[in-house]
Amino acid sequence: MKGQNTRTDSGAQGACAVAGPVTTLEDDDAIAGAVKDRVVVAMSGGVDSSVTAAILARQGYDAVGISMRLYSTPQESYSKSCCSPDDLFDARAVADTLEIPFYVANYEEEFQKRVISYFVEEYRRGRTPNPCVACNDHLKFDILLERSLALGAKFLATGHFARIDRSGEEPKLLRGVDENKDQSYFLFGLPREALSRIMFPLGAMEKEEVREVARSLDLETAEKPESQEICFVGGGDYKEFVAELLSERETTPGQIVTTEGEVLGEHDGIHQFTIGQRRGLGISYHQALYVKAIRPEDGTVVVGSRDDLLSRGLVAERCNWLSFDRPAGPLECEVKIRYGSHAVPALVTVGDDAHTAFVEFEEPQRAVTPGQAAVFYRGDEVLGGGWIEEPRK
Amino acid sequence: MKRLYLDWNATAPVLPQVRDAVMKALEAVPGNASSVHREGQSARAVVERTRRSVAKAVGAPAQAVVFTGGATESNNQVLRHHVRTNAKPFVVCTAVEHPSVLEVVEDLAKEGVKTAVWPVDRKGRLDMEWLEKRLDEGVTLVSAMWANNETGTIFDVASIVDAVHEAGALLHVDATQAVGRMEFDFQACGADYMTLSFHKMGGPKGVGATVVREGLKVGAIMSGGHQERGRRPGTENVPALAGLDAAAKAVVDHGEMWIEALKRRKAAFLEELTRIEGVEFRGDQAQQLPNTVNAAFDGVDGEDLLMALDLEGVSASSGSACTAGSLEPSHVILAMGYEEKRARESVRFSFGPSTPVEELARGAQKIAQVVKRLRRIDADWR
Repeated sequence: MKGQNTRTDSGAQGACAVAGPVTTLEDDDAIAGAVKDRVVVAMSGGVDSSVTAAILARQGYDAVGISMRLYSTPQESYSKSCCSPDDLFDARAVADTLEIPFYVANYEEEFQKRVISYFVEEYRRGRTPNPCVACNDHLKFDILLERSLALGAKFLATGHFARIDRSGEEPKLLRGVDENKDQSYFLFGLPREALSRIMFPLGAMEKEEVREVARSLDLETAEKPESQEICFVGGGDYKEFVAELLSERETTPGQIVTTEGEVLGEHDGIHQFTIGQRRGLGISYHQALYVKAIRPEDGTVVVGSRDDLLSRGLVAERCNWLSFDRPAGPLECEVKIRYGSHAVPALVTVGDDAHTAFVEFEEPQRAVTPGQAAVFYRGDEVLGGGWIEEPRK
Repeated sequence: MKRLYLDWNATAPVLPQVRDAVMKALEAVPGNASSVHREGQSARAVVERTRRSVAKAVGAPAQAVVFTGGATESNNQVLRHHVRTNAKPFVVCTAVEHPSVLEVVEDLAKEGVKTAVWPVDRKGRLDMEWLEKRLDEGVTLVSAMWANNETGTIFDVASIVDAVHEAGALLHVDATQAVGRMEFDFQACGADYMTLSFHKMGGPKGVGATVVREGLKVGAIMSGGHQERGRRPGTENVPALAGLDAAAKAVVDHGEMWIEALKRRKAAFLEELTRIEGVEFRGDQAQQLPNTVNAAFDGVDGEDLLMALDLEGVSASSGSACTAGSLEPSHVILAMGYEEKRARESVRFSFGPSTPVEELARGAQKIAQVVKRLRRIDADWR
């Protein structure tokens, strides 16, 4: 790649200020070369991606909206989940308001394979999946990014609350400025080379500013509520969703036992449990019980007190490093073990191939959950991350 | 950016004389064609004048023409009417019909009507032996299009008519894609029912016609008015019919010239496209509309190609869009026996007599560049 990119998404520009000259990436293609700074915007039909498109269009980029169709919802059903036809209509309406081209890309097959199957399989194995990370890794920042480049775009932009710092030699992934909305946790698995092709225009904004921009531009999605649920599960219960996709012989029933080995009851499948879960165990006991461990081998669900959930560390597999090829030595950093919790100080050492990370917390942490992501930060910078395999005593 | 519109089989730019006729009718013909007064009479005059023009354009007597809201409605009307008025209906349609035939036949099957779908070969051609066999089993209606919207493949209607009539069955022909692109004559061809629309060659959208052979009937499929002699209720769309009149007259006046113009354009376009490595032309090259090219570029997804071409100013099409707007592989290409991935590679380019011939050649060069780029990025990324 030629040229140092000097622009930072996290720069102090106001939301709708016109950007300064953007250093373009090398491109030897005659057609793409004739078009200045085309950016594909992944538009879900929500307010964040709507404003992302609006900002880029206002800044003078040749913005092109694409909605990913990830799964089918029956035509007659009226659903407010992401990717429903209604959301695609909303995205189209916003693109129309912004007068930018808009397309729908059909990624149903990939989504089924890479996200839904993975989601169900993880629960089947007694783990707790993170489908948003899988979708980012395999859909948005892989096949959609590739398609964006194929359309002659220089960048793919999304409405994630995260920033890319392009001031140094290599682009860095940073947290979003809005602490409550920061989504950098979901982005640890991006291919490192993708960082130079991605824009996160909302990373420097607070959520409320995003809504204000949407209102000021009279975008159809300005007052649209946040999507909270896992998009493809809709408003329903994820346990029912998983149960429906599992055949009977794929479920692993077993016993519910205390840490001391006392059998408290039985259950009809480990896929219904998550580490740290308290509700819905179907057991009455003299103290509050939490799921401490799930053993897929024999279907045992171990329950214990809140303090039984504490671990001193964890093992993460399939690590992806964004700030370097691999840590040079033991890494003092902060680790975030689920989206909803703060990053905590830890010491990380890696195995020979840097794919496995051994994490030691400064203070013991509750409910280390296999299947979730452990993401490593230094201040605002995302150094990398991996998938939690197991807690360490 | 100057755009090159290559999607005439979806719909075409409106002819100037059509636009003028619609505007004039909107301004000068305020009446309802069913009314007794002078305003009503002048509206009625537009309707009947159009009936004569359309009849003349397709070689049918005026009284054979029933106006509808478009080809989809006409297809529904013919099939539904047949089943309703036949004691033991057995309906056959080709596997490459437009959804407005194919899905009606599927619905009929669900309702308990005997149906069968007539398969096509790799080039989209029909197997007459298959039909002969089915006709012996008591088929009562066959529905076959004159020319296919996606591949441009032209069916041998004369042979089909002979076989169908010999077996005592009826033939419905959907001629929507044939209008203005090939010569045909309703009475001479012998079909029993024909579906027409003129918007693929510059007529107005939202208006079409069902043509019925003398001695046969077609009934209304909706209730609520006795317009079109009880065959299609609803106030006549006089401005659209005035536009249809102009379009039908244009076909009579310029049809032959258009066909020659289309042949020249297709030759120029194909000459450039043929140079692209790994191109495959689909459909029956020997019997194909002079305005349609269905091409697949090895390893290039049709959806990718369409988006990239659109951004470069070239409008083409591929498959059909679902409710949400994403593309499904073409049922026509699938019916020709291509597996899904290969079917997704199909892209349809369709043009008209007013498409500038030099633009077509330039468009083909753009297609070549985009195909090259898509293949390169695909290779780099993997």
